[in-house]
Formats: sequence, structure tokens, C-alpha cells
Amino acid sequence: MMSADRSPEGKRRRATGVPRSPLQIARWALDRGRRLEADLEVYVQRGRTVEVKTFQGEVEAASVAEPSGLGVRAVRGGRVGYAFTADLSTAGVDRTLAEAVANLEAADADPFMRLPEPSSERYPVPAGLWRPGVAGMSLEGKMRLALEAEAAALASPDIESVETSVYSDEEAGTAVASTSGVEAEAESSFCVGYVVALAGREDEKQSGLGFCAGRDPGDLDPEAAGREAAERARALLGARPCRTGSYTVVFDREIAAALVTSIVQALSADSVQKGRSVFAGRLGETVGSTLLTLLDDGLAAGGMATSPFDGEGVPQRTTPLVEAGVLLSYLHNSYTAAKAGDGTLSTGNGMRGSYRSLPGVGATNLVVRPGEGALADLVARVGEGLYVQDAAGLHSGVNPISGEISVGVTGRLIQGGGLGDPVREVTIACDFLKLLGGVCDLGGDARWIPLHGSVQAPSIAVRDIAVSGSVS
Amino acid sequence: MTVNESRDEYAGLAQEPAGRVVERALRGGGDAAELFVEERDSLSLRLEDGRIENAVSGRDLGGSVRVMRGLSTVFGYVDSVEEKALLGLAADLSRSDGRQREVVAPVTLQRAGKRQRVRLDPADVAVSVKAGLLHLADETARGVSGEVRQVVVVYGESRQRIWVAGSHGRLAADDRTRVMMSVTVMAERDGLIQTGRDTLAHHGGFELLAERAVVELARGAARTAVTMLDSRPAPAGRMPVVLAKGFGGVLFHEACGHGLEADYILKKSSVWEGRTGQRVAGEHVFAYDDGIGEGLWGSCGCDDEGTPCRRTTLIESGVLTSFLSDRLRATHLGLPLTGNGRRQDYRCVPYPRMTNTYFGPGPHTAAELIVDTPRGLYARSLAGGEVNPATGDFVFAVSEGYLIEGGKVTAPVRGATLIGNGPGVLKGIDAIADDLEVEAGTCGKEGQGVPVGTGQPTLRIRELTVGGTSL
Repeated sequence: MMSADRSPEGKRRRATGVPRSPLQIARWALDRGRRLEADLEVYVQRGRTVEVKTFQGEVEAASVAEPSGLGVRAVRGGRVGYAFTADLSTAGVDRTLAEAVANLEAADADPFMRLPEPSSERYPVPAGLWRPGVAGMSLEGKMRLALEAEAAALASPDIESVETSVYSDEEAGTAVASTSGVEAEAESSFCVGYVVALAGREDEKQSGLGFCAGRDPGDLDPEAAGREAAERARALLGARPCRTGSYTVVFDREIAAALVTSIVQALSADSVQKGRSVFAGRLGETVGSTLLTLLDDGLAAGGMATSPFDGEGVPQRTTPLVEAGVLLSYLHNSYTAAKAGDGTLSTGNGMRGSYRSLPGVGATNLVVRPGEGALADLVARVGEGLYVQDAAGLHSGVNPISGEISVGVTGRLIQGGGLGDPVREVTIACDFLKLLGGVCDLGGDARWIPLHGSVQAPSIAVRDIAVSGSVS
Repeated sequence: MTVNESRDEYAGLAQEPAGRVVERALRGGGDAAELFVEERDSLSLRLEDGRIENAVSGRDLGGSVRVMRGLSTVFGYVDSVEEKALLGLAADLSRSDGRQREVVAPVTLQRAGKRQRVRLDPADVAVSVKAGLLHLADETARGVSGEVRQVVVVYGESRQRIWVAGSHGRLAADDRTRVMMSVTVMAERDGLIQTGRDTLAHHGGFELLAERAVVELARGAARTAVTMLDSRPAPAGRMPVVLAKGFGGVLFHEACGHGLEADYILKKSSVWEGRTGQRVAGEHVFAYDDGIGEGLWGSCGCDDEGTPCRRTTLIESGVLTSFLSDRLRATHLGLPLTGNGRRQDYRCVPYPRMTNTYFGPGPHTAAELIVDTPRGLYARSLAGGEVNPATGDFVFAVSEGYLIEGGKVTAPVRGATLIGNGPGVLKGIDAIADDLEVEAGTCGKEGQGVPVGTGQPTLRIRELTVGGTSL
């Protein structure tokens, strides 16, 4: 398939004398913008990606690409303009530089808006961000991983079919360079496999997801992911709505991770400063149960968002957010830090979706301090309640501004200290503060979940959650 | 092959080079190959705290090639539209299966589907005029009430031009201009924060954003936020639900539409598989996927495989009549091409996707539906939803809801999610009003977002689970 040397894009780049490494591209673009009257920051991404999907023992789709692009942030007099392009030719980059500067004319001035200065500290060097396996494994090898995951799910009891089994990976180089003197570059690799299995019995179908992730395909256990998908689908066969009422709910790690990601959006200083957060004005106050400790760890080993620097070249670091229920910090980028004043510094959370977007404020890796025991132990301690295995409608049913949560869930009743009847077609409703305050126990089963952000979460038990199901 | 300032609509992808790329892709064998080329220019402006925070513009330019053999697809893309780059990509994707195909039909022009009208090209409107409208929306929303604390206004415009050449021998092109504005308003009283959000969007030009329309949009969002300050927690349990016209159509989108997409049908992972010709709802229920509706957000001239868009009847008098296909699934299932092969951009493989879906109008008025409901929930506005096509279970969030008591809309309620099962809820639709409206949204699937319209007249579902906190 495609290799770096055969890339037609690579040939063109060499022919026109455009340099190759992300930082070299960023410096070159910055240099071409010197004549423009604005402070400039160039963010460059170059990568290689592979995605394989299988269905019924065959490769359904294989795609290979080498995406690249660049974004330019222009700042003058507190106004900011941004432009991006996937066209890294001289003409494409020149047009993008000019557009970014033209765009700042449309913006209103803000005294706190300026490009970050270079950090006085050295960039951290997190170990193992790039591993050779993603580049080294053949496409056929990657196809085998997806096929193995599918086969493992199909070999499990009650599994009718596998809706999809996917292997995907990415090697990415990113760089930031600015007229303020910021220069940073990093390389990373990442791969993930996931499987959706369908269990069936008579007319009924239930689905379950299993996954594995790492920085090298050699770290993945596709068979375990396949079995996990199968087990989760099978556990729901025969599910019915449970009775409406107030329950102690045990959130599976994946759902705990998704909820934590949603809640932390409201810990963005940008949300707080603009009145979009229920945590505004609450630093130093108790916002959750004393059992709850939560960190943003931009350097965590095993975290998929780990990087030496954020989307504006500020070093990533560890920021305690909630300690034993007390709110300690918000997340900052350089703009929100300047606006907060009193010597506030960026926490290295100037995150970008890609080169197509300005750096906003976002979490890196979130880490919830675990409790003790496996899921079964936590369920035994809870005694009676509802175990939530999966949730639907998280993007629409969680309002990060008002803090309201109302989502559909599937799972199992917790009866007599064990997992009992499967449950579906019920909703749970709560809000951020009640959820954090209601945490009554945590498992010791923390796992990295790369599905909704990057979160290391254990199973979490929360009391007094409203469950709407069948007639009470 | 370069994308030029076009002399005519096909200048972007000249026939002969397109034919050469498709031919090169199939040289190693395969049933079919396709070249997709895209040029997209976009601009967005964002206002918050009364200031235009930033203006962002971007250009996407690239091409992708796919080779299909049986149900297996090999795909790749380059951030370039030069013939040399695309031929290199085609060569990389071409793998021998020992069944060499000698001849590929020459690529001929296909009559384009009908394009949407653009009366005022947004590129011809000064950015200061656009910025002025964002400020107008902000000031209007703040003027509604002193309890309005924050207003976010987002403006977006894009022009996407696509060219598709396939080994079936045809070359199609489309030119899509879209304009949108959304207003999100936060209101606060005694620590309670509530939000209201409204969007105005269409496939067309800047003519969408007349001052009066912007004022109405901002007022609507602000009124919702302020009204919801008076809300009480939503009830929990099963009850009749009246879904208001417009974005309520996300009900059809989630409860039924996704399950009619032919990729789920092919994999037998849809609850609707094998059910065409069967009664799935009352005789008064009609539903459509309308890819050609005038100015609708999800309308196009042709889909992203070059198939002209059309209007497909999905449910007729309560009977399921059609699935939504792309070329690959249509071929394997023996289905007609419905023009639903869509993709987010040239970096993506197309899938069967909805365009604009809606229930057809009924004989009642919205007021009659309310009067006829002794107790229930009136969902005036929905925030979006999600479905599991395999089980048919769906949820969607109510962003503005009210109790119905004694045939009257009474107190506002917050934090409600509706949950149900697709086949069950369609049968539960017992009355439909005459006030059809279609609104704009973004549909996510396989990691790709595409613009869709969702709509309906006001309708009532006999019984649905409402997930609130008030037990």
C-alpha cells in the first residue's frame, strides 16, 4: 500500500523545496509570514493513519492516508484571526497566512488576547509516546488483529453476529512555532481496536462493545476485546424496564469516564469566566463527596492525551481539580489565565481538536482516584441498586451549562449483593453537583478509557439517582 | 487535473484525467472504482461576552480513491487534486486479484441533479456585515430579560464543490453553499442556570439572514432560556407525549430513519430488516427522505457518489416501503439507488445516510392534539438523540418541555429525556397535525458528521417513558 517514499505528496514537497518535519514546516511558514503585521503562531500536524474494518471474517474496508495540515493564529491589538489549510504548498500556506491576518479585522479586541510567551521551564519528556509497532506492522498484520477480535466475539455463547470490528491507528507529528519564540515538536503513536457484538435470542437482539488500546499494536489484546463485547451483549438478553424509583447506581468504568468528561467541561476556566458553569465562584468549596479525588494529568503514563505540550506550546502538567470533594482548580489556557489575573498560569490545557481549530480549554487525561476491589466487590458492598453498563444520548442528554443529566441506560439490577435481572429502556436523571455529592463508593478496577476523552476511571457508586422505567 | 476557477461546471475535474485515475485504480482488479474530488471553503464567526471572539476560515482541497471487490473496500486519500498525486494514490490502492480488468468505460458527463438556488453568495457579503448580525443577535437576546447572563452566537458559511467519477462510466458534480447561524442563551436566577438554543440554517445563500429573521432567532432562544427558569423538575414515568413541529422530527430520525440505512440492513443489524411491505404504523402515518427539498439543510444536487438526489417515500399509509441506499449496498441487496451515499468530506468513505427526513402532515391542528390530552408532556424543543439500530432503542433529550394538564399546556419542566423503542413508538403515534416544518441538524455516524434536516408536524405518541427526576 502507501509508503512514505511513494507518497506523491512527498515527491511534490521535495520538488518545491518545502521541508518535511512538522517543526521545519512551522518555522518555514512562520518565516513566510514575517512581512505580515501581526503576531503569528503556526500549528502543524502530519500523520499516517490506517483503519481496518471486518465483517463476517472478511476485511470490509481498509483505508490508509497521510493527513497533514496547518493552522495559523494571528493576533494584533487583542484581536485574533485564524485560518487553516490542508494544502501545504507555498501558495496554499501564503494564502492561509494572509487569511488569518485578514480575519482578525472581523474580531473585536480583548485586552487579554495575546500569544503565549515561551515557557521558562523545559518541556517534559514523557516516555513511550512513540512506539515502532504502528509503523512497523504490515497492513495484513493489522487486518489480522481486527479479524481475531471478531472471531473471539463470534466464538462466544449467544452471539449471532458482530456488527463491526475495527482496528485503527495513527502516527502523528505535531509542532507549534510562534513569533513570540515558542518552538515545540512531538511525535506519538496510538492504536485502538473495538468490537460491537450482537447477542440474540428469539426476536431479541442486544449489543455490546469491547475495546483495547495502546501505543503499539503489540500491546493490544484483540481476543479479550472480542470476548468483552460478547459478554456485555449477552448480559443484556432478556432485559426489561425496571421500576421507576430512586436507586443507588453503580456506573461501569466506561460510563463513569463519559460522565467525568462531561462534568469537567464545566471546570474549564473559559466556561467559568463566561458564566457557563455551575462551578463558578466555588474554588475552595466542597463540591463533591469526600471519597472523590480527580486530577487532570497531562503527563500520565498510559494516558492517550499525554504530550510534552498543549495546542499552544505550553508544557503539559498535573493539575489537581478536586481533592476529597474540595474544588482546587479550574483548567486554563494562556488566555483564560491572563484574564483570571493574580499571577494565574496556564495549566497546559490549551487543547485543539486538530489544526482546523483554535486552542480552546479542554482536559488532557482525567484520573479518578480508585477505591478498592473488583466490580463484583463493589456490587456486593452496594447490595441493592442498579448497575449501569451502557448509556445512550450522552451528547444531547448532558447539558454542560445547566449541569443537568438525563440519559437512557442499559444494565442490570443489583439484587442481594450480586448482579441480577438485565434492564433496558430506562433513563437516569441527576445533575453534576448531586452526582459528585452522591458518590458513596468506588471500585479498585480503574482502567484507561479512550472513548470519550481520555479517562482513567474505576466503577463508581452514586446514591439517590432518579430512574424512570415501568410503572412504580 | 486541478480545480480551476471554472469555465463550466465540469471544469474542476476534467473527464480524461478522471478516467485515467479510475482506470489506474482498477488495473489490479476489482468490481468498481471511484474518484472523489472536493474543494471546500468555509468561514465561521463566534461571538460571546458581547465580542466577536474570532473569525476562522479554511480551505479543504483533496481527492480520494476507492476500489471495491465484493463487499470489500480499499480506500485512501491525498490532500491534493493534482493528477499525478491522484494517479499515485490509485496505483497504491490497486492490488492484483488475478482477475485483470482490461477496459474501463470512458467517463461521460452525467446530467446533474437540480442544484439549490443561491440568491446572495455569502462570499460577496463583507465580513463586517456578518459581524453586525452577530451583534444584533446578541443585543436582541440580552434585551429580552435582565436574567440573560450570556449569549453565544455562531455564524457559519461554506461552499463545497465535489466531482465524482466512477467505473460505471459517469462523472457527476455538485456545488453546495450552506449558511447557518445559531444562538445559545444562558439565563440565571438564584443560582439556577437554564439555556435556550435556536438555529437557522439552509442550503442556499446569505439571503437566509435578513435582520428580521436574526432578531426572531435570538428572541426565541432567549425566551426559552428565561421560560425554563420557571421550570420544575420533569416527571418520571410513562405518559402521552405531544412533540412539537420541527426538530421533533429527530424522533423519526432516531426511532426509524437510522434503521432504514442499507448498511444496517445488509448486516442484518437493524430491527427493520425484512420488514418492507409490512405495517409498521397507523394508516395516517407517512414518512419521507427528501434530498431535493427546496433550501433544506440536507438537500443536494447529487449524493457523494454522484447519484442524483430524490424524494423517497419511506412509510406510506403506515406501511414500510423503502430503505436508504448507497451504491455498494444497493448492488448487493438489489435495492434501487436512492441518492443517500453521503460522506463528510474527501477523507471519508461514503455510507447510506439520511438527507432530510420528516413525517407527512395529518388532518388535525396542534391545538386539537393538546386539548385532547388530559395529562402528559408537551416537548416543544428537542436537543438531539441517539439510537442503537440493532435493538431499536432510542433516547432523545427535551430542551424545552411543559406539562399538559387537563388539555392545557401548563408548567415548564426541565431535565427530561424520552426513551423508547423504534417499532413500538411508531405504532404509538395516534394523531398528527397539519403544521409540517423541517429544521437543520448534524447527524453523526461512523465518526462522520453530515448536514441533515429533521422535521415533522406536531404529533402525539400515546405513551412514552419520560425520564425526569420528579418521582
